[in-house]
Amino acid sequence: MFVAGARRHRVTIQAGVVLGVIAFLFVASRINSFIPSPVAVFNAASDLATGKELYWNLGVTLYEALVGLLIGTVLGVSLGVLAGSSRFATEFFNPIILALYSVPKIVFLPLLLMLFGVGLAPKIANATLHAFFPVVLNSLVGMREVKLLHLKVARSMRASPGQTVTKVFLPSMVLPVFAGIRLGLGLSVMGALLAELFQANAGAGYLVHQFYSKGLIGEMLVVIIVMFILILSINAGMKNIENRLSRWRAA
Amino acid sequence: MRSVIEVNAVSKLFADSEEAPSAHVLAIKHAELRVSSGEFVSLLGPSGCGKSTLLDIIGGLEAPTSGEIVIEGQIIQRPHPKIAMVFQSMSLFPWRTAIDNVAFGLELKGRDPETRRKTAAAMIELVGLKGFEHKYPAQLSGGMNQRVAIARALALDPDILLMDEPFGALDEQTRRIMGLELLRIWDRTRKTIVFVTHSIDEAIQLSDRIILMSARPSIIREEILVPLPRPRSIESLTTDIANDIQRRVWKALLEEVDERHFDA
Repeated sequence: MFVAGARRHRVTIQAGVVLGVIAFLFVASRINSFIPSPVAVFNAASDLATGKELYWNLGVTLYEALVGLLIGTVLGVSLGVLAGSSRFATEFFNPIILALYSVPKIVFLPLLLMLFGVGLAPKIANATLHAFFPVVLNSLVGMREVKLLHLKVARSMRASPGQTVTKVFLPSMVLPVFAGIRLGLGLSVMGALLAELFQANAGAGYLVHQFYSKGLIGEMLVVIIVMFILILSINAGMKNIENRLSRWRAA
Repeated sequence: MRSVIEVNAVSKLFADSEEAPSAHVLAIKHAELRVSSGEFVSLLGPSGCGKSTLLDIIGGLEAPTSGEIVIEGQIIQRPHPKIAMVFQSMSLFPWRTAIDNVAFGLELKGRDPETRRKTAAAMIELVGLKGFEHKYPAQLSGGMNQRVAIARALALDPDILLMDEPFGALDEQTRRIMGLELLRIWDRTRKTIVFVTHSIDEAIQLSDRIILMSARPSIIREEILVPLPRPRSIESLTTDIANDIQRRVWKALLEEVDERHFDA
């Protein structure tokens, strides 16, 4: 009952915020002519909904983000397992990873553009770079969280090193790694969008930039809102998978 | 009777700490022990007396600093295939259901899924958990978790079961019941069991023989036979023989305190 009550409460507040934003736009558009009214945004949305432009560019961005997330996950888990495999490896890799983590990844974009030229490649590379860090850090944490007693059980049953990795280390790491992937998803979308804003000829970021330079602020807002809703729903889906993966935790 | 486990002059030194690797702690000093096939032997002693370390050495998880372990006539360097271990608590894999935990060792051995399922189901039934096969460890009580841990060890059909305070984390009543359950399982499977405990009553309730260990220096101090008839019940502990053994154990423990001039 309490849970249901809290949920209803939360939804009420969220609906209130949305209405508040609409009301703000309504008032602000009367004061500043650059700001579109809610009606203008709605009209822009219905225009864009009938054309192909919005879907195509959103598709490009999602494609870049997902491929980037995939590559970043493979690289992140691999390096995380390697870095967590011994004390020496952890002490060697940890400061490097942490130092790079705290640098805004956007500073590497010119380098990526130089390396990968134009097209999808530099945008995927930027998404990969953004997704990589939460995954590698969480994999490293996951490696450290493996219970010594579980390793002892495996050893007493004469598990091979390979079996120890697949049957003890990896299952112990699933939840922290998945949490890293969930964080990585948001960051890889951000990486793709940033690259598109900088230099691109397709993608949601490119579209935002195009609408902005044409002064089509309503259309620009539509792209941002749709992107926002997309990320929210993907995140909810991921949360769903995470709950399913952690069902053994429920007592 | 033939000894299936021989502990020959086993000593174990531990480096004191990382900062002072030259300072060593003598964990076990010159341990000698023979265990016959089908025997139930308890290692009894206070915490930190090296009894778990000795069990790990017998299990091939730790190498002795000197001396050797002979299992079924063969000196061991690593875990012996005919030995299975049961640990204190939280040793189950929480992401596996009860039956999948039990099947773990069979998976490592590469048995086919049908054999694994059948063997694991039979072991679950043996430890009295029929109906709980698909529960996760978090959904089971502490006692049930230890039943699963025992089933996991038995699934490999070992000759020898090494148990490291398997009921140490349970409350007194559950511990007693689990003891009787273990005796029932032992009676049906006739494994050789080496059982580590710090509970005098538990050692008397279960064992054929109690090996009394003392702390610092950790030595095997005394062997006490437990001639209580089997099968045993809760009442076995209140008989004169049990009381007599209890007195002898306490006497040995108190002598040790005297020898140490109450420096503990």
